[in-house]
Amino acid sequence: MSRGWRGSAGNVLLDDASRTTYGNVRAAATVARELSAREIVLVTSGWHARRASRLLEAAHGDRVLLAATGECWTTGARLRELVCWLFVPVQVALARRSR
Amino acid sequence: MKVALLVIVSVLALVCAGCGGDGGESSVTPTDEWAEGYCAAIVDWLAELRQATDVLRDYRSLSLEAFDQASTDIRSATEALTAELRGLEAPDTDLGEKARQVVDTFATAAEADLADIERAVEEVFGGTSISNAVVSITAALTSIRRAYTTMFDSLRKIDPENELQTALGDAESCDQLIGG
Repeated sequence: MSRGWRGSAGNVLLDDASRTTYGNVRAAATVARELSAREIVLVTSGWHARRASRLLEAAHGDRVLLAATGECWTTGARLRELVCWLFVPVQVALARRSR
Repeated sequence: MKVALLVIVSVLALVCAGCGGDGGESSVTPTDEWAEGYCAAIVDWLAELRQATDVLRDYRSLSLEAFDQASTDIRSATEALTAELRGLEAPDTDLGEKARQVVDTFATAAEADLADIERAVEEVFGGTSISNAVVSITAALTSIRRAYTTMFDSLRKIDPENELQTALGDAESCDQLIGG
Protein backbone atom coordinates (compact mmCIF):
# COMPACT_ATOMS: atom_id res chain seq x y z
CA MET A 1 0.00 0.00 0.00
CA SER A 2 2.84 2.38 0.84
CA ARG A 3 4.44 1.63 -2.54
CA GLY A 4 1.16 2.41 -4.30
CA TRP A 5 0.55 5.66 -2.42
CA ARG A 6 0.59 8.62 -4.86
CA GLY A 7 -1.39 11.16 -2.86
CA SER A 8 -0.08 14.25 -1.18
CA ALA A 9 0.22 14.27 2.56
CA GLY A 10 1.99 16.35 5.17
CA ASN A 11 3.14 13.24 6.94
CA VAL A 12 3.03 9.57 6.02
CA LEU A 13 3.48 7.16 8.92
CA LEU A 14 4.15 3.55 8.04
CA ASP A 15 3.12 0.81 10.47
CA ASP A 16 5.50 -1.98 9.58
CA ALA A 17 5.18 -3.80 12.91
CA SER A 18 1.60 -5.01 12.66
CA ARG A 19 0.93 -8.38 11.05
CA THR A 20 -2.84 -8.53 11.39
CA THR A 21 -5.78 -6.21 10.78
CA TYR A 22 -6.35 -6.13 14.53
CA GLY A 23 -2.75 -5.02 15.19
CA ASN A 24 -2.99 -2.49 12.40
CA VAL A 25 -6.16 -0.80 13.69
CA ARG A 26 -4.84 -0.72 17.27
CA ALA A 27 -1.69 1.06 16.04
CA ALA A 28 -3.70 3.45 13.84
CA ALA A 29 -6.06 4.32 16.70
CA THR A 30 -3.09 5.05 18.98
CA VAL A 31 -1.57 7.41 16.40
CA ALA A 32 -4.94 9.09 15.87
CA ARG A 33 -5.24 9.67 19.62
CA GLU A 34 -1.70 11.07 19.83
CA LEU A 35 -2.44 13.46 16.96
CA SER A 36 -5.89 14.34 18.40
CA ALA A 37 -7.28 13.50 14.97
CA ARG A 38 -10.77 14.86 14.35
CA GLU A 39 -11.47 12.64 11.38
CA ILE A 40 -10.28 9.20 10.29
CA VAL A 41 -10.67 7.88 6.75
CA LEU A 42 -10.02 4.19 6.32
CA VAL A 43 -8.85 3.20 2.82
CA THR A 44 -8.81 -0.52 2.09
CA SER A 45 -10.00 -3.30 -0.20
CA GLY A 46 -13.72 -3.78 -0.59
CA TRP A 47 -13.69 -7.33 0.79
CA HIS A 48 -11.72 -6.26 3.85
CA ALA A 49 -13.50 -2.98 4.53
CA ARG A 50 -16.34 -4.08 6.81
CA ARG A 51 -14.17 -5.98 9.25
CA ALA A 52 -11.42 -3.32 9.25
CA SER A 53 -13.88 -0.49 9.93
CA ARG A 54 -15.66 -2.48 12.66
CA LEU A 55 -12.34 -3.02 14.44
CA LEU A 56 -11.07 0.52 13.89
CA GLU A 57 -14.28 2.02 15.27
CA ALA A 58 -13.95 -0.18 18.34
CA ALA A 59 -10.32 0.87 18.86
CA HIS A 60 -10.93 4.54 18.09
CA GLY A 61 -14.25 4.89 19.87
CA ASP A 62 -15.97 6.85 17.13
CA ARG A 63 -17.22 6.47 13.57
CA VAL A 64 -14.63 6.35 10.81
CA LEU A 65 -15.13 7.28 7.18
CA LEU A 66 -14.66 4.39 4.81
CA ALA A 67 -13.15 4.56 1.31
CA ALA A 68 -13.18 1.04 -0.06
CA THR A 69 -12.05 -0.17 -3.47
CA GLY A 70 -14.67 -1.78 -5.67
CA GLU A 71 -13.03 -5.18 -6.00
CA CYS A 72 -15.36 -8.11 -6.45
CA TRP A 73 -15.50 -10.68 -3.71
CA THR A 74 -13.98 -13.95 -4.77
CA THR A 75 -15.02 -17.13 -3.00
CA GLY A 76 -11.44 -17.46 -1.72
CA ALA A 77 -11.48 -13.95 -0.22
CA ARG A 78 -14.91 -14.63 1.28
CA LEU A 79 -13.65 -17.80 2.96
CA ARG A 80 -10.60 -16.00 4.31
CA GLU A 81 -12.69 -13.16 5.71
CA LEU A 82 -15.21 -15.57 7.12
CA VAL A 83 -12.69 -17.19 9.45
CA CYS A 84 -11.18 -13.81 10.35
CA TRP A 85 -14.66 -12.58 11.35
CA LEU A 86 -14.81 -15.30 13.97
CA PHE A 87 -12.08 -13.49 15.88
CA VAL A 88 -13.86 -10.14 15.71
CA PRO A 89 -16.12 -10.36 18.81
CA VAL A 90 -13.10 -10.88 21.09
CA GLN A 91 -10.99 -8.35 19.22
CA VAL A 92 -13.72 -5.70 19.47
CA ALA A 93 -14.04 -6.27 23.22
CA LEU A 94 -10.27 -5.99 23.66
CA ALA A 95 -9.97 -2.95 21.40
CA ARG A 96 -12.68 -1.17 23.40
CA ARG A 97 -10.94 -2.01 26.64
CA SER A 98 -7.59 -0.68 25.35
CA ARG A 99 -8.90 2.82 24.52
CA MET B 1 18.46 -27.95 66.79
CA LYS B 2 15.46 -25.64 67.03
CA VAL B 3 16.95 -23.44 64.34
CA ALA B 4 17.55 -26.41 62.04
CA LEU B 5 13.94 -27.57 62.53
CA LEU B 6 12.65 -24.10 61.77
CA VAL B 7 14.66 -23.99 58.57
CA ILE B 8 13.31 -27.39 57.48
CA VAL B 9 9.74 -26.33 58.23
CA SER B 10 10.27 -23.12 56.26
CA VAL B 11 11.69 -25.01 53.29
CA LEU B 12 8.75 -27.42 53.34
CA ALA B 13 6.34 -24.50 53.48
CA LEU B 14 8.04 -22.93 50.46
CA VAL B 15 7.95 -26.19 48.50
CA CYS B 16 4.23 -26.53 49.18
CA ALA B 17 3.61 -22.92 48.18
CA GLY B 18 5.52 -23.58 44.95
CA CYS B 19 3.35 -26.52 43.93
CA GLY B 20 0.15 -24.66 44.67
CA GLY B 21 -0.76 -26.39 47.91
CA ASP B 22 -3.48 -28.99 48.29
CA GLY B 23 -5.57 -27.97 51.24
CA GLY B 24 -6.08 -24.29 50.53
CA GLU B 25 -9.24 -22.79 49.13
CA SER B 26 -9.12 -22.72 45.32
CA SER B 27 -9.62 -19.30 43.75
CA VAL B 28 -10.84 -20.85 40.48
CA THR B 29 -14.60 -20.47 40.35
CA PRO B 30 -17.01 -22.57 38.26
CA THR B 31 -17.43 -19.49 36.05
CA ASP B 32 -13.66 -19.38 35.47
CA GLU B 33 -13.65 -23.07 34.55
CA TRP B 34 -16.57 -22.55 32.19
CA ALA B 35 -14.77 -19.62 30.51
CA GLU B 36 -11.58 -21.67 30.05
CA GLY B 37 -13.51 -24.55 28.52
CA TYR B 38 -15.55 -22.23 26.31
CA CYS B 39 -12.51 -20.49 24.82
CA ALA B 40 -10.46 -23.69 24.52
CA ALA B 41 -13.25 -25.29 22.47
CA ILE B 42 -13.47 -22.25 20.19
CA VAL B 43 -9.67 -22.00 19.78
CA ASP B 44 -9.49 -25.65 18.63
CA TRP B 45 -12.43 -25.13 16.27
CA LEU B 46 -10.91 -22.01 14.70
CA ALA B 47 -7.55 -23.71 14.16
CA GLU B 48 -9.24 -26.59 12.32
CA LEU B 49 -11.51 -24.28 10.41
CA ARG B 50 -8.65 -22.08 9.29
CA GLN B 51 -6.70 -25.06 7.94
CA ALA B 52 -9.69 -26.51 6.12
CA THR B 53 -10.81 -23.21 4.58
CA ASP B 54 -7.23 -22.50 3.45
CA VAL B 55 -7.48 -25.73 1.44
CA LEU B 56 -10.90 -24.82 0.04
CA ARG B 57 -9.69 -21.38 -1.06
CA ASP B 58 -7.74 -23.11 -3.84
CA TYR B 59 -10.92 -24.81 -5.01
CA ARG B 60 -10.08 -24.34 -8.70
CA SER B 61 -7.20 -26.79 -8.46
CA LEU B 62 -8.64 -28.95 -5.71
CA SER B 63 -8.85 -32.73 -6.08
CA LEU B 64 -12.02 -34.51 -5.05
CA GLU B 65 -10.12 -36.20 -2.20
CA ALA B 66 -8.73 -32.90 -0.87
CA PHE B 67 -12.18 -31.31 -1.10
CA ASP B 68 -13.77 -34.24 0.71
CA GLN B 69 -11.08 -34.15 3.43
CA ALA B 70 -11.43 -30.38 3.99
CA SER B 71 -15.24 -30.64 4.16
CA THR B 72 -14.98 -33.57 6.56
CA ASP B 73 -12.56 -31.57 8.73
CA ILE B 74 -14.99 -28.62 8.88
CA ARG B 75 -17.85 -30.92 9.83
CA SER B 76 -15.98 -32.90 12.45
CA ALA B 77 -14.43 -29.76 13.98
CA THR B 78 -17.84 -28.10 14.22
CA GLU B 79 -19.42 -31.25 15.65
CA ALA B 80 -16.64 -31.38 18.24
CA LEU B 81 -17.22 -27.71 19.08
CA THR B 82 -20.96 -28.11 19.60
CA ALA B 83 -20.39 -31.26 21.71
CA GLU B 84 -17.73 -29.57 23.83
CA LEU B 85 -19.81 -26.42 24.36
CA ARG B 86 -22.85 -28.51 25.33
CA GLY B 87 -20.68 -30.58 27.65
CA LEU B 88 -19.41 -27.58 29.58
CA GLU B 89 -20.54 -27.61 33.15
CA ALA B 90 -22.30 -24.28 33.53
CA PRO B 91 -22.10 -22.57 36.93
CA ASP B 92 -25.07 -23.52 39.10
CA THR B 93 -26.52 -20.04 39.04
CA ASP B 94 -29.15 -18.14 37.09
CA LEU B 95 -26.38 -16.70 34.91
CA GLY B 96 -24.94 -20.17 34.35
CA GLU B 97 -28.31 -21.48 33.19
CA LYS B 98 -28.75 -18.56 30.80
CA ALA B 99 -25.23 -19.11 29.42
CA ARG B 100 -26.03 -22.78 28.89
CA GLN B 101 -29.15 -21.84 26.92
CA VAL B 102 -27.25 -19.32 24.78
CA VAL B 103 -24.58 -21.90 23.95
CA ASP B 104 -27.22 -24.53 23.21
CA THR B 105 -28.99 -22.18 20.78
CA PHE B 106 -25.72 -21.68 18.93
CA ALA B 107 -25.01 -25.42 18.85
CA THR B 108 -28.46 -26.15 17.42
CA ALA B 109 -28.05 -23.50 14.71
CA ALA B 110 -24.56 -24.74 13.82
CA GLU B 111 -25.81 -28.32 13.53
CA ALA B 112 -28.48 -27.22 11.06
CA ASP B 113 -25.81 -25.53 8.95
CA LEU B 114 -23.68 -28.66 9.09
CA ALA B 115 -26.48 -30.50 7.33
CA ASP B 116 -26.13 -28.00 4.46
CA ILE B 117 -22.40 -28.70 4.25
CA GLU B 118 -23.07 -32.41 4.18
CA ARG B 119 -25.57 -31.93 1.35
CA ALA B 120 -23.06 -29.84 -0.64
CA VAL B 121 -20.47 -32.61 -0.37
CA GLU B 122 -22.95 -35.28 -1.43
CA GLU B 123 -23.88 -33.19 -4.46
CA VAL B 124 -20.25 -33.12 -5.57
CA PHE B 125 -20.21 -36.90 -5.54
CA GLY B 126 -23.44 -36.71 -7.54
CA GLY B 127 -21.79 -34.59 -10.25
CA THR B 128 -22.03 -30.96 -9.05
CA SER B 129 -18.81 -28.96 -9.51
CA ILE B 130 -16.51 -28.41 -6.53
CA SER B 131 -16.71 -24.63 -7.02
CA ASN B 132 -20.51 -24.71 -6.60
CA ALA B 133 -20.13 -26.82 -3.49
CA VAL B 134 -17.54 -24.42 -2.05
CA VAL B 135 -20.02 -21.57 -2.55
CA SER B 136 -22.66 -23.59 -0.64
CA ILE B 137 -20.18 -24.42 2.12
CA THR B 138 -19.20 -20.74 2.36
CA ALA B 139 -22.88 -19.82 2.75
CA ALA B 140 -23.28 -22.40 5.51
CA LEU B 141 -20.17 -21.14 7.29
CA THR B 142 -21.48 -17.57 6.98
CA SER B 143 -24.62 -18.70 8.74
CA ILE B 144 -22.55 -20.38 11.48
CA ARG B 145 -20.54 -17.17 11.80
CA ARG B 146 -23.76 -15.16 12.35
CA ALA B 147 -24.95 -17.61 15.00
CA TYR B 148 -21.54 -17.40 16.65
CA THR B 149 -21.63 -13.59 16.77
CA THR B 150 -25.16 -13.76 18.19
CA MET B 151 -23.93 -16.16 20.89
CA PHE B 152 -21.16 -13.74 21.82
CA ASP B 153 -23.52 -10.75 21.94
CA SER B 154 -26.09 -12.73 23.95
CA LEU B 155 -23.47 -13.75 26.52
CA ARG B 156 -22.73 -10.07 27.02
CA LYS B 157 -26.41 -9.13 27.35
CA ILE B 158 -27.22 -11.75 29.99
CA ASP B 159 -24.26 -10.62 32.08
CA PRO B 160 -24.91 -7.10 33.41
CA GLU B 161 -22.45 -7.63 36.28
CA ASN B 162 -19.73 -8.63 33.79
CA GLU B 163 -19.08 -11.86 35.67
CA LEU B 164 -18.73 -13.98 32.53
CA GLN B 165 -16.95 -11.21 30.63
CA THR B 166 -14.36 -10.88 33.38
CA ALA B 167 -13.83 -14.65 33.47
CA LEU B 168 -13.46 -14.71 29.69
CA GLY B 169 -11.02 -11.81 29.85
CA ASP B 170 -8.94 -13.63 32.49
CA ALA B 171 -8.99 -17.09 30.90
CA GLU B 172 -5.65 -18.06 29.36
CA SER B 173 -7.25 -19.94 26.49
CA CYS B 174 -9.21 -16.80 25.52
CA ASP B 175 -5.93 -14.97 24.75
CA GLN B 176 -5.57 -17.14 21.68
CA LEU B 177 -8.77 -15.72 20.23
CA ILE B 178 -7.09 -12.40 19.50
CA GLY B 179 -5.19 -13.39 16.36
CA GLY B 180 -6.43 -12.92 12.80
